Amino acid sequence: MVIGLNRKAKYTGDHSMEGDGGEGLRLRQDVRTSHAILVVEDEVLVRLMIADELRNAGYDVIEAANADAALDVLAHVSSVSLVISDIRMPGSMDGLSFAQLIRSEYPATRIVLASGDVANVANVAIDHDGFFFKPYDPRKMVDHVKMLLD
Amino acid sequence: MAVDQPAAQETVLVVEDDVLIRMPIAQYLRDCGYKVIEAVNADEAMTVLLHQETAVDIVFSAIDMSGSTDGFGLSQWVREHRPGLDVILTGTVPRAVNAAKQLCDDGPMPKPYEPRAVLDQIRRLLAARRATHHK
Repeated sequence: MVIGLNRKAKYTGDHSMEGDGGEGLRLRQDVRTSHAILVVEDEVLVRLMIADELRNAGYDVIEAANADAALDVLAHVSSVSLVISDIRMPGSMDGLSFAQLIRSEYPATRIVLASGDVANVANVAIDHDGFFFKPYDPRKMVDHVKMLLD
Repeated sequence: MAVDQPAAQETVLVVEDDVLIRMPIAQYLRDCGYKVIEAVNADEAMTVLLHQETAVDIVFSAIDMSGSTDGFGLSQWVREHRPGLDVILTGTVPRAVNAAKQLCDDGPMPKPYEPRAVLDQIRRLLAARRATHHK
């Protein structure tokens, strides 16, 4: 069980990695839930707040600070059932472009968007499974996630 | 998991910019009973450490990271702003690992690492910290 450098490894479930036989991201543990939630948010305290609330509700949560890291996760983790993404983020794409990509590449994955920018509301013309104004009550987000997944 | 749980839930701040490295070690430590806060760089880590409502008992940080400073800079910042808070550094570059010895009493943890080795070092440092506080 080694955590290291090989980014070709495949995430096998929740937090276990199956490598290619070399020194990879290989951390094998018991498989747990079938629902992993990917939280994509560049403000660490906001990300921490919603991730904590979701974990307290019993979900496996994976945290990413931008769409690029989130796509890395989606390429390696098959158990992501739902993505919660901020709209305004640094990186190669914002949350709207990211959501469109999820719809086309991962059609079974639910996508919930959040933004503190009122102007973004009019732009959310793409298909999504929920929109939250920031700051939002994390308990309401968890209730929405439960409604979508349970 | 058949791993001894910490006596009371202590918090580990994991600082790593590669999500595919941060994710498994963070989850492993959660399964071992720790609360884990994830930061993607030193700037985020400092934000967390300055947030008064968020308790952190130990920091486990990569050396090479994007952002305004690297793991060395974060470790120095912690020594100045949060004395007594242990920082475990981990890295791949031999020069960086050797330099980390200047900042970490126990020396750095080379990458790739065994999660169990990370857990053992965290446990040892937190036990020493608890013993110091109880004196």
